[in-house]
Amino acid sequence: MDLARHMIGRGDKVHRDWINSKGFKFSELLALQFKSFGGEGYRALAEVLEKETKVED
Amino acid sequence: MSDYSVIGKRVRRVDGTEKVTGNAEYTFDLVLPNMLYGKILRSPHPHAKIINIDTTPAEKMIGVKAVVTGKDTFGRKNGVWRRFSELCDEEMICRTKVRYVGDGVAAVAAIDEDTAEEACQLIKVEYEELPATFDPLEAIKEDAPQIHEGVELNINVTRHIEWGDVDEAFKHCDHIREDQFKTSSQHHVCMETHNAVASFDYNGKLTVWTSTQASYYMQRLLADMLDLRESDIRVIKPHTGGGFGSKFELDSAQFCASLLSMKLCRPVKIVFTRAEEFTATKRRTPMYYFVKLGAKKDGTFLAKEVRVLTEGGAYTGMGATALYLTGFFSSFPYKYPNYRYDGYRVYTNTAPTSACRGFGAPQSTFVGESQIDMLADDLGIDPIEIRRKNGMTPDYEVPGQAHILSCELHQCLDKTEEQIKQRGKLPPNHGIGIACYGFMSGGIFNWFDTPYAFSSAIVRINIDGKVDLFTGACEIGQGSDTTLSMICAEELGVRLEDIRIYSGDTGICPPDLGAWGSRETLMNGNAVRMAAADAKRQLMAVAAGKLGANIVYDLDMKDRWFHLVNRPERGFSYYDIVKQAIRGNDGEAIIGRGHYTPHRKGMISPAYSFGVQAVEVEVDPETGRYKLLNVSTAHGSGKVINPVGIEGQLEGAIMMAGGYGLCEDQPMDKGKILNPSFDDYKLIRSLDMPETKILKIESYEPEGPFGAKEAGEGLTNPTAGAIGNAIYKAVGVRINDLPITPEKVFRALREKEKQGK
Repeated sequence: MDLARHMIGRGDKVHRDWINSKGFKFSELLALQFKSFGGEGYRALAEVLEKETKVED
Repeated sequence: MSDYSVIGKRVRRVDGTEKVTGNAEYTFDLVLPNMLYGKILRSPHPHAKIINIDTTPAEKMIGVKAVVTGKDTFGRKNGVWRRFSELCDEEMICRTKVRYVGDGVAAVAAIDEDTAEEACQLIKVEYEELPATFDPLEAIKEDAPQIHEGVELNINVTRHIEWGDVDEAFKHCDHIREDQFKTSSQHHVCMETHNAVASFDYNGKLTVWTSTQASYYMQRLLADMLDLRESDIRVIKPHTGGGFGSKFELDSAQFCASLLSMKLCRPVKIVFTRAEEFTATKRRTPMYYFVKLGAKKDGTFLAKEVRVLTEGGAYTGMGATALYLTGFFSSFPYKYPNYRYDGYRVYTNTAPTSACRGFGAPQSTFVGESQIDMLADDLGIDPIEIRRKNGMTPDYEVPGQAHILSCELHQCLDKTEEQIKQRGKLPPNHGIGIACYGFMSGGIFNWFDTPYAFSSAIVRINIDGKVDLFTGACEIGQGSDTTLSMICAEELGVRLEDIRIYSGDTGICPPDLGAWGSRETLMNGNAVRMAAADAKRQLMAVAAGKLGANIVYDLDMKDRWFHLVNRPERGFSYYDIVKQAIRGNDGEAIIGRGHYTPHRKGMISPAYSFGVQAVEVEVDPETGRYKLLNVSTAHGSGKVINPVGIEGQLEGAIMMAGGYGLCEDQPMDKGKILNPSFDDYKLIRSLDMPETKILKIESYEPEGPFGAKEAGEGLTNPTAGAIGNAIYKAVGVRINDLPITPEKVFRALREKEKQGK
């Protein structure tokens, strides 16, 4: 979750491109995040990040 | 009995006589030989491409000496967040595109203001108008026009703060509230408008006299923008008529006057009109707040989640800081075990928003304190009790964010409760609302990317005992020259009249980050104290030798008398020691140096003020009109350096924050501000001012000079929230969007009647 927050929060080109390459649309993740309580945007990205880490392990 | 001979005394301002006699000179008053006058042509469109600019007719006009446009600039973008280049996004004179009504497109230097103004009207600018977006809720939509290239959904900056397990904590709450709020804009309304006199000479040196909160920032930013070396620029801050957050970014008066002067090698003066001041400088950030607050039924807060969308306007400025601070101060001054904040700053085609006294905290305090009262009402708990139950205490760690050392919140609550009780039973339609608050004593994060210490000072003791204090701190009306002189006098052991302060001149003063974020007393105060101690140590060595006392005895100086601490009658005059010290120093004056940069103090600030304000209102239920009757404030600012200074800050803050709560706003039509004059911009005036009272709070901040911390911006934070709570107490209606105008109260009262409540 911390990494997801960092990536969405930083929002620079490198992070945006990486997020988009995983099948997300950066702007949609942002929108998801600010439309409702509960940190849904972060959660969606965090799930992918967790899987990515396991693959690398 | 105080141990101090200067600190804590009621003293008159060191610049007071000059000011009240009308002798103080401001940049506005400055006239240099051979000086020209500049004016800036501004965009009438909120969003447009610049297709062509024809300056020929203006250049041909008699009396016009130079015209500059974007092509004369170095193509650089200005921004005070220098550490992050993507946030430096403002062209001081636009080259290809304008982004708000008021963006500069050209500047003229002429023999007088009228000629310059007339020449501006002769400049022909061909625009291609673009679709524009004005509200952050609209600007984040996929189909909204993009204001800056490559910025998706117009989201300029995001900020996220989180600790604990918020989602899990909400499951354990007995009561949860979800509320929405909207806060409004506010202008700084400095008495002195933005201005500058710039003089570039044939030696390649640029001197700029300007009304600023941060001379060093101006020096550095002008160097960046004009491709000059920092040391080839001298920024001098004469007396300054207010800043309130609006004067520590580079503005178009400073930039355009400098650019024109560089072109002509003649001094150029630019003074903003009041209309320009309202439309072409930055302003307080309007914010949409979505807040979820959960508690146990006894009122213990378990979790808070905050989402904020801010109206950024066309450029970043200090908006990134306001976005962070509104998130941080949304948790203030309470102990939330679980907290999440998501903040989004959104570009819009409106005048840029940035720092304004309180820096994001007046918004969060209005929202937070309103919602706490609503929650207390739901749970049937007294508003003071719920705050007492959850309030911060000394030595409290805000997880991952801040370490609170001194905290007077509970002392302030006790005093306020006492004060409210003294008011007795209130007449009908009267109500007292309270709000708790806190604020930082200077910021820590080095977004400006300065290599210098945050504050520094030099003390020079001359042969006659007179002390010259050099500091980059900026006196802007808040009283820092007086406060710092008092700190210097106390530490040295001389009298206040022995100190002569030189401040805010980069040519002779060491760098300081300036007067913003309530930083000067603590940060520059520490630097001054260190410099004074350094000078005193040099004198003490001479005095100790002359006394010939056993080295186990302690030596000190008080009121110009060097003496043994245990035998104060044994000593020497300060004047004698100074003379001997200078003779013994090969004739050199005694110099002391000091500096301060916070280390290991968390992410936000080295120290925080805490306070509680109670506002009594009287509401007319027929018209919705209400009066502020009484405002009492318990403010913990550590050791008070000058009580008169705090009183001045408080009176001013109530006027400014009362206006924020009651009437100040900047309505727009398609991005054009509709009230850019004192006729139409509603301020609280002297006759509207309530009775005010300061409830005395004793405290000591270990990080501050002589135990002092902030007493400036924090005082602006509570008033709007306390007004909202007082109106609810008086007539039972709650207004969630600022300002709380009588019209909104009237409509809410009629709605309440309709619903038969």
